[in-house]
Amino acid sequence: MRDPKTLKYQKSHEWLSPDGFVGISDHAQKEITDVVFVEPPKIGRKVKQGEACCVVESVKAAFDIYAPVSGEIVAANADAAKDPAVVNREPYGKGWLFQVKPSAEPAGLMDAAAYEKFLAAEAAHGTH
Amino acid sequence: MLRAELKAPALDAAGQMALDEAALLGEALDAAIFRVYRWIGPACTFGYGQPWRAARAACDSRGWTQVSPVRRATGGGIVFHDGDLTFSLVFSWERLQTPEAIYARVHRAAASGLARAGARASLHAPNSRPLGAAAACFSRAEPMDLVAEDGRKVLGGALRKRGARGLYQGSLRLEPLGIEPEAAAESLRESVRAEFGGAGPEAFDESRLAAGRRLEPRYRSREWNERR
Repeated sequence: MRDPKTLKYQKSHEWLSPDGFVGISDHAQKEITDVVFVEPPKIGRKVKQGEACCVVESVKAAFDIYAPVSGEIVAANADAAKDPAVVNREPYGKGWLFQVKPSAEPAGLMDAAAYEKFLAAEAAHGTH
Repeated sequence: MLRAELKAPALDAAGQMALDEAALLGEALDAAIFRVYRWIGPACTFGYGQPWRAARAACDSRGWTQVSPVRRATGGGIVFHDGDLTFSLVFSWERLQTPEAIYARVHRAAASGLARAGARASLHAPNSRPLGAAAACFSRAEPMDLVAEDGRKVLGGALRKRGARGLYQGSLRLEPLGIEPEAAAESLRESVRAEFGGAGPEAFDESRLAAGRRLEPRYRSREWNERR
């Protein structure tokens, strides 16, 4: 399992590891609730940062997942597609979604401390 | 939040799904978009992650061999649109929230509207959440679905979150409520207006319909519907 403190985060709650792995945060998996379906991107696909490239579905709700960095998809987690609940069990470990070979430096990502502040601000902002 | 209620022509399942997606992808959202479907005939839709074969088999088992099930962009189960009141809502969904929170908001408003029309329904709040997802939408009530007094599920929904916007698609079964479609539609309009803010109804203009038509071929394609 990756240490969440070592990851970078996007406002849409994806994390990016230094070696290009991507998943959703623990906060996100709790809000999405029980994941029943994962559709990772196809290997070889070129994505731009912020582009929807993966879908995670919980009971009766599908969520777009966005690339936190531009580049090429070089791996997709087939285990998560077979056992979607692993995204809930291990969001920073075996529940990763895909891996990107970056083609550019990602912009605007938050470190763990900034992400925690972002979550606190969102919670304080209340519902929409 | 402002709200626009949009009137669209009668469509089949692919047309309805395309029009909803066009609304979801549309211009900057300064208004929630509420729409009651008008169908041109029986239709079947199924959830984004569901296997096509399950939907095909479900249609065949009820003798709907000529009906082509259409995959939705939203999650959820198989829905037969044969006398249900189908409606959709595109809304601002900036902060990530549980689907249950969204369902509670929409369905509580719907229950309030139905009550004004004389039909009683309440939010389903079981002590424990059932495991997994039901293949067919109305085979069981999920938390925050609406159920009639006799326990039958009457309103189920499906969601898609794309960026800061959400698409809700709902199916209301009228028989357990003993309410006419027009009265139910009006009650939903009123309740959504109360919950999401009110603006007058307006018709879909040609640009909106054209945006939907551009997306229709995908919803008619085997690549989309039979992708898994």
